[in-house]
Amino acid sequence: MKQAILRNIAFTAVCIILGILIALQMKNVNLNSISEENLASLQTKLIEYIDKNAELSARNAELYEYVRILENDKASGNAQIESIIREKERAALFAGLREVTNYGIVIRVSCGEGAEVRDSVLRQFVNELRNLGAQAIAINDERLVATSEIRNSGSQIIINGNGYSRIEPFEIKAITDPQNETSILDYLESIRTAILADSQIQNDQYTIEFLPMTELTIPALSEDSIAFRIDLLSGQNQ
Amino acid sequence: MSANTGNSHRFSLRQQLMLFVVMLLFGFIVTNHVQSVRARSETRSLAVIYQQRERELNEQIKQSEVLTQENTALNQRKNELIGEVLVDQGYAELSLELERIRLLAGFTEVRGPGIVLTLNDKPDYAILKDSDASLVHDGDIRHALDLLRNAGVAALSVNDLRITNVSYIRCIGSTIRCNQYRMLPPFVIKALGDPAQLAEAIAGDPMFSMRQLPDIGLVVKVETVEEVVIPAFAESDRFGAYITLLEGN
Repeated sequence: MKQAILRNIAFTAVCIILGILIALQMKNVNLNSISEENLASLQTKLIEYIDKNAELSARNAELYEYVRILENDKASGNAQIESIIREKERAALFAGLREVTNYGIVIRVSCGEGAEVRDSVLRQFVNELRNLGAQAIAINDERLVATSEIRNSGSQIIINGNGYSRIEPFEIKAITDPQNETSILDYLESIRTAILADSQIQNDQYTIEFLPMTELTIPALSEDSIAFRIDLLSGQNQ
Repeated sequence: MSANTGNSHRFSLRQQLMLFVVMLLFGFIVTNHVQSVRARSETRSLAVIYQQRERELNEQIKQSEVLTQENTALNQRKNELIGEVLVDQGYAELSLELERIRLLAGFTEVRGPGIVLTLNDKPDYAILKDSDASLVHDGDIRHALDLLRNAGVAALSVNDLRITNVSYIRCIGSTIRCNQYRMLPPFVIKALGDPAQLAEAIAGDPMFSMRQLPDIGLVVKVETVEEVVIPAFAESDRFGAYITLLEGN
């Protein structure tokens, strides 16, 4: 009887130790799954956050200073109106409300007789130009903003609410960094090759040309343009 | 009596057999553990560094949240003060004009009816079993944004990053970036506009219908909501970096 109890105790102890060892082994397996690649990816993320936080701290310091100046201006009744007007003009440039002129690239897209230009081809180039850091883009002199539509509607492509014939050539203008001209043109060339590899596009006999221009002008978009949908933005429709 | 002895003998044999199996397993695990501890001491030190970096990253993420909140509050205060200063000094019209431009540029939070579109990888995606197509790609997000633009959207954000004139969605390695920020799935696109029209643009799209087929299994979920809140462009206090080629011409 006594022997049986001892045996049971020994058996239980062995099982407990076995359980602990299995747990340790599992932990070890989890640790082993961490590779140098995982660590490198984590470190990249960490560096990005450190840089981002440093930049945010600097921006916040500038903002504190600006707020302090504005509070003083408010108290003294002597505001720097000129600098506010300058800031307003710069915001208008960003918003696409001002005409801009600088170095840029023109992409001319046309297709053969009987075929029609597709909206998807234009959208693809616009997306790629945004990726390439274009600061202003227009199609057929329609300035593109964040909400501009580019869509087929029968024989036309609608851009900012205006229709353009799909049998005519389309011209995409973009203001890009002249220092990156070679890499931008190389990249656009790879996009052209990918587009022209499509058999339907080949049937439509597309021609896609890239023309770097030392000076090109991109018109402004009116505040009243349908593309801005200001009624929805300002909650006037509610 | 002999039956009892026989039973006890069988019981003891069974116990011994169990003990033998347990001890065998025990021996095997101890050996394996000792071996792996020895052989992987290098990996263990890698794991220690990893855990340390992970802790540092979590601290940085927390700090980033605090700094972002501070930045939003400061920008708001700055704009209020500019408005007050202009009105105080008789430039109410200029103040209104500035507000309107900031609204069009995407520098202010906007809210109203719209939709919330969620794009996510196939649930329980298994790298060995499922194809790459079951993951959300940058092209899926760009496609969704294009569909919503064509359906009359007034403002857009992806994972609470406001889409502006200079925004891009790009895949760099295994991560997707928007406005220089890394994004992880699920990708939540908020769109301000006519909810029915926006929802229909996504629901009726052949590409998204195909991407949701069981073989691919991408999650494309549309919710129409009475009010979506689309945040301001997070870099509205340093937008100058995006107009360097447009100024002074």
